[in-house]
Amino acid sequence: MPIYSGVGGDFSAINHNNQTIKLSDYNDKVVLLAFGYTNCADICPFTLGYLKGLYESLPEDNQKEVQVIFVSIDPEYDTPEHLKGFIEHFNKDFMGLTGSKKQIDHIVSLFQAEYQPLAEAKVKTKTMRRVNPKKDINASNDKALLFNHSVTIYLMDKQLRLRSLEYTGSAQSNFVFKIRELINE
Amino acid sequence: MKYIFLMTLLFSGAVFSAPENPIERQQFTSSLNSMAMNVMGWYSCLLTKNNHCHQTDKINLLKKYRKQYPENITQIKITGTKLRPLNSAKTHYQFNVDLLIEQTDSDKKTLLAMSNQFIFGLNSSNIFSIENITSSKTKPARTIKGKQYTKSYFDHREIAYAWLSYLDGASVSPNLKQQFDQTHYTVTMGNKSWNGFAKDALINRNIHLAQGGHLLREVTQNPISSESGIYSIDLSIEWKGENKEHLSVLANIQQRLRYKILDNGDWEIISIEEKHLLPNNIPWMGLLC
Repeated sequence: MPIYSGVGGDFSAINHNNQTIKLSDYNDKVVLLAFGYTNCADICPFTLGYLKGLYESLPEDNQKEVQVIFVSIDPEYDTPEHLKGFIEHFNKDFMGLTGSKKQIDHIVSLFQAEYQPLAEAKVKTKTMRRVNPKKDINASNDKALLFNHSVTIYLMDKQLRLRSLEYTGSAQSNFVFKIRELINE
Repeated sequence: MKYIFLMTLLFSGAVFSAPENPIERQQFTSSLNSMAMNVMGWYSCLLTKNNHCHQTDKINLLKKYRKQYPENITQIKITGTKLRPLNSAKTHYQFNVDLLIEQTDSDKKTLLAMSNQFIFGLNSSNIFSIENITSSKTKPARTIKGKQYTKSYFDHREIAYAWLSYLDGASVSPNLKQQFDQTHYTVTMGNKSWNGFAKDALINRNIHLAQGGHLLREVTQNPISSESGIYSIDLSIEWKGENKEHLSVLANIQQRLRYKILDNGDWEIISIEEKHLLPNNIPWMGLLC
């Protein structure tokens, strides 16, 4: 697999355990990175479900060498605690990242992804189909933005170089083959 | 000798079957870019008013080959190309170009089709130059559609190919080398960025793009600056090769060149900005859900 020049790079963010991390903290692992947000009704749960299937099909010793990262493009709503409930619904080994808008926009620009609000006005979250409702809030008044965002899954090697671009339509067997190739590289 | 088919328009982005081996690819693209630079320069010359070309090599070519073309050419559109080496050492190439030519006499426009065969050879400085041009007779043709295929169209591409030849490490004239070495060049590769003179910025860039070649896919002219004579063109370039660790690398490169035309007709590059982008060939790129 060739290296895709000029895409990606190190960044810092806050994980779902409210710790500041850097991507380079995972430079001994194969990283799968996707963008989304917790109020996303369809593509995000679908993507994470796909990644769950992919990850859990790997033998345990391979799983230890892989890190799935989900970067929230709605850091205002997706607090670390809320993100934790969301991401651990899929697999406790997955990592959710949030942070300041500046941090998230920097990550988005590094990976040349995109996101945009569907409308200026926020929508009541009680009408949304979601993985997990937010805790300790007034549910009837809670509102959030809806977004469009990139659906690409970025596959990076152990030096965090971008090696492949995938999505939920990628054949799982091919994707697993690529992951294992990078683990063994 | 195998033909290398350049399937659509070479000079606005063609589909090439460039070699996969990085060293061969670099040799291929540096040769191709050098020859394309010459062809672009030649057609720019034919489109210069009263054929007042400034470059010595073009003046000499004009004396020998101008009469093969009609007078008062106002547009030239390349409709097909074919390139092949003439020997295994690849010191000589045959470059066939099919053209549509618009001739304008007292506001009356005539469209003609013709073919040119360029023979290129490596000179003593290891630079490809045109050794011979043979042309077919002209035939009547239909209209030229689309862009304006005027002098500036070819000027942009002459500069683009000259720059890419330099980036590929091909031999270029001392004047060009000096100009390019001192060109202000900014490169952004993910979270890495270098700027300064090209010869310095390339030291870092070449760690990541060590051996391989640049293929020009598209040239787009930006609106002309209010400062007289300054042009801005965007180049879409595909790079394939290896980094310094001999790992294969693909790069989708966008460059913005700003240049100006001097009073004597020479061009001078003002600045070059380069960004590396996601590849174009992923079907779901740009898809937002």
